Amino acid sequence: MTLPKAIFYPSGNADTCLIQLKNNRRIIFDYANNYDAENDDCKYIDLESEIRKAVGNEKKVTVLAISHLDRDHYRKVSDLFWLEYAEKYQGDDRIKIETLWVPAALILEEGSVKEEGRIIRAEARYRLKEGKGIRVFSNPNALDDWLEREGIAPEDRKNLITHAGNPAPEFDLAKDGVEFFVHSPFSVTGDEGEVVRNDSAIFMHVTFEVEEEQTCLILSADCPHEILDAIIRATKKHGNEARLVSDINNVAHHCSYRSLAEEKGDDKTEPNENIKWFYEQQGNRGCILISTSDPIPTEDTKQPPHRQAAAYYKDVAKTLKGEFLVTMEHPTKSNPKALVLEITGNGHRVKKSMPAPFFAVSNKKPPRAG
Amino acid sequence: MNTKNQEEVISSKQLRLPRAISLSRFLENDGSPYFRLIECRASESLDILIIEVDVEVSQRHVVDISPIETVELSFNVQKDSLRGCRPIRNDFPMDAVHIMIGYPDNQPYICLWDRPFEELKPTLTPYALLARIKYWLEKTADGTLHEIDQPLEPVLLGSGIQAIIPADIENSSKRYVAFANPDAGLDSVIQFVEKDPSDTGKQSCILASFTVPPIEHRAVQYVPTNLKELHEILARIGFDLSGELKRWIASIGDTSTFKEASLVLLLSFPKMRMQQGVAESIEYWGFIVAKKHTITQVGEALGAFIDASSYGISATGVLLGDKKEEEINLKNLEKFNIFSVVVQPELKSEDLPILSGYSKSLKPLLTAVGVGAVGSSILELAVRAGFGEWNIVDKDVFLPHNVIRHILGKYAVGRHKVECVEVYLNALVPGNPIQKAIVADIKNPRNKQEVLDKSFNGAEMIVDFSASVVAARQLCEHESKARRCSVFLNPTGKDLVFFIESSDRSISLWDIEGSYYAALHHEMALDGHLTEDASTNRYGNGCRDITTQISAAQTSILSGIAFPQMLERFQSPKGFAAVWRSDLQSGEIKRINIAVSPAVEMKADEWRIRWNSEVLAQLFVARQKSLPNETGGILLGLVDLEHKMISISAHVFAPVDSVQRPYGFERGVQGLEDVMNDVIKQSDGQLRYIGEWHSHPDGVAASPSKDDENVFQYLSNCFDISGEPYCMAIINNKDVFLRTGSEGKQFETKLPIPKALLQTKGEIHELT
Repeated sequence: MTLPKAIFYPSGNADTCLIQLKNNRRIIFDYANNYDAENDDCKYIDLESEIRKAVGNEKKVTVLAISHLDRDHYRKVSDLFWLEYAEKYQGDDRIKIETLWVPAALILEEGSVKEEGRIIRAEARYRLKEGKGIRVFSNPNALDDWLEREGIAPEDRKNLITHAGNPAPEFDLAKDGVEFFVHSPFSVTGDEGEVVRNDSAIFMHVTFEVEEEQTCLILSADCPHEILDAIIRATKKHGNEARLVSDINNVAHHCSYRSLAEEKGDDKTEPNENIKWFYEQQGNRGCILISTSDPIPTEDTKQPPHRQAAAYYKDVAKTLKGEFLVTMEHPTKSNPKALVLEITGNGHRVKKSMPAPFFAVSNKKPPRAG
Repeated sequence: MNTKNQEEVISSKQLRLPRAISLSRFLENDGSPYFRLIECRASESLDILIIEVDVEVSQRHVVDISPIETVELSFNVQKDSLRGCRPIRNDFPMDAVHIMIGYPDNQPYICLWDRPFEELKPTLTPYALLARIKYWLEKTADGTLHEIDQPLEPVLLGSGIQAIIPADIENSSKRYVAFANPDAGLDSVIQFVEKDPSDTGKQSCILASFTVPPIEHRAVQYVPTNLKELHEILARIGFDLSGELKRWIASIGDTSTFKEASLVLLLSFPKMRMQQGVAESIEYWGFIVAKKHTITQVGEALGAFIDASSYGISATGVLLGDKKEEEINLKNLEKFNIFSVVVQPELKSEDLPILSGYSKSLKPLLTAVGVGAVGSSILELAVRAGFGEWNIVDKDVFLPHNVIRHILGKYAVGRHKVECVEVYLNALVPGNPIQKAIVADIKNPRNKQEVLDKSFNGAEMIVDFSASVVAARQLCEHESKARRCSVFLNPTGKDLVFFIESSDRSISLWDIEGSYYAALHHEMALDGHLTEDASTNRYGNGCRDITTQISAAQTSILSGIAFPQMLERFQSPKGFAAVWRSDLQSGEIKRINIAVSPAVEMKADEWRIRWNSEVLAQLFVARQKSLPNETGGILLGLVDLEHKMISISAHVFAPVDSVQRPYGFERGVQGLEDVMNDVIKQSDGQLRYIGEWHSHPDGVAASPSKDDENVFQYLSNCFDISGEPYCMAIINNKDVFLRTGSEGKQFETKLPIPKALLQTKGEIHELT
């Protein structure tokens, strides 16, 4: 039986997660290709080749999700994918996207959007105007003004917009063996009556079902601790705690302490009670915590990954009898490879297959000979 | 460097054994991303590597194996051997299957291979060794290391004296004493025999037998060396050995006959594949308490007896009687050294098919006729495989030349084969598979008719090993409803012939025999089967005292083919026939199948005519094709004058010079003589001319016309004098008409052509 897989790629501090379903439908959650073919020391994976290999001759993905408009979540999308809005991005070797998933902010953002970000925004806006091939995750009414400005009745695009607390309709647990539940974008009323709104990024809870057993994956992109806390509060308020259970948790923002707490801590970041609950109580036994980042440094650094955050995640993994894995360290820092999690009837299974020496030779070009 | 057992941390460069060095090199050079060398150590005799292994485990796994495990690999420097591979996590699951608890360190060593390390040496690269460790950990985590069809793991591991116990020992209330040849040393085999109640003499060993509660198979432990250790092992699986032993000793009453005897413990361990399962096998272990300790002393240590001498009485082994139960001091048991005994239960009849690799036990009642070289060899294979309960029939006496290829030896010369075969085979395996040996000639049974009838009528299958056409036909004609099977060799002994009837007997030995002769003519691969000259020797003065030169190797090989065929075909309702042709020089054996078909039987007074249904179908098709003309040809088959049987098994289409008209058919002759000569030659005269057939057009009755009467008259003129039967068949679109003549008499019969027959697609070949 073909089992569904979740694959995380070593691209430094950048997110790419490919989810392959048993019925051959594929979801790419963020795509950021940092590979530099010209640099012999480049340890980032050749992401384009990996994705092409995975997609095969079909040259199509069911969904490409761009969690938000940060470069480390969309880099080189315009080199690989077929974009509907401009012929320039169309060609036989490009991979088509059935449905593009974006947060409302990606459509609405007008500020300092970098060049490739503008391309993605243009594609999202084109698809939304066309009324097909897109799903926007949004707060109610957030897009109304924009749509009206474009001369489109908001009611006509209702079917393309999904609010927090709902599953994305592109997938069905019974048919596809997977469900994507949207936590963010959202709005929540705080304890003191203040309203926290976040339209900027997608945060999802993915439920796989294999042999009637469920395995849950959290995809949190760059979610900062305040937003994570607000998501947890909103989820608890709606009695949806089960939607924060995790067997695989792609920890936020490349292992940044800012996704756990305001304070970095000396040796370990200490999150607040809600976030502790999310990791320590909602993480199932054997939970894998994945940092899509560079190797964890031994010294203090300004940019993520932060060793203090990693110390917290490692402790969580130890308590849960799971593992804390870093994409640029898997399986070794010197030669990182794609981190493949097979989803089985007994939960996840991190693939650690050991090719015989012959295959190691046959998969790799021999060094140049004179 | 250091004292013998002390280990010290070393650098990988200080490793001594090339095998350990190459492993460290592999690890240090990133040979695989999933292994890391943590440390090297050495003692006087060992090179040790501590290695971290990344294990691919499912999130929810059966056995608690971590995603990262650390193992210690120790190599014996002098012997160039792997002393062991030991996980060093404190809470590693010690009870997992394929773990051996080391002695005396009590550490879990993983059983990596089912073969000794010596056998692996030539191919064991560092990669292969590490891959195996990873595989072991991953399969153990999944609970799939032990294959579903793999026998359960042993409870204990050790070696010692061999002991054979009676198959019924567990359910028996008999008391057994053990004996061994005292001169045979430690390799001797102990046998337990039932104690003669009248024997009041001293016994050297007394057996105490216990069954422990069923256990899930788990890590293997070394055998214990004293009674205390044994008690502790058993206590862990819920069995109180000291208490049970105390009760046993107290219960045996009068101690006079065994107070000086040694105690032998027999322990039965029922084993389950998984918890709450059923016990699927039993492991037996015996332990002999060192000879210097008598049962009396064990009894005293357990508190079952008092040491009388401590009361100033000059006797030992006084029973405590009703003395209050006291806590047994286990420390007292430590001094009783024990020696393990590898126990083998006697083989049971039901073990035979399982150990032979046959899926199920089959015990049909069978009667075999003929226990010559082939018959006896096949019977031996059958009883060793636990197949059948047999009555065997043969009239012959074992003669000196029979030794060459018979299962019996010269001791049997002058005695009836069946009786000797019965003794030989019943002594060979448990369960007395030969129920009855009948000395009788089935062709002339005299006063044995009744016993033969009973045997044939009670059998599920009658197997003919007689190598006699007459006997086979005689058996076929017996009133018994049992299916028949016939196995024989061709005259040179190089070809095996195997016939089995369909279970409903619609395909009988008659029909198969006819098809066999037809195949000899049309099947090129059978060329020479009956015509090759056999080398013979005369063993007596009589003109029939001739034996063919056939080696035991030849009969063994062909019997070895025949038995599994019999076993397999017995389980299928279909009829089957085949010839295996062997060439002992090249070692080649080739099978040639013979197509068999049900027969349609017509009765003509005292004669029975069995039409091979495929032949009949072919005639009908030929008739259709020739319309509007008539067609015809000649019929071939076998004739048995004694049983008044005609079996039509082949035919020859109209020769080219035949005249075929809408209302007439004249059979030609061109080429016919050559065909008939070959038919007779290849079948050794068994297949012969039966008569003529021709067709009538639609709407014309299948009955003789005036011309047809002339044909029959012509046949009558030819055959009546010779006493041979002859037939004339007429086929129209509905019926088969048959007139049979024999010795001046004529019998007519008509049969509607069965509809199903017309759709039959067999492989009966037209003779050309």
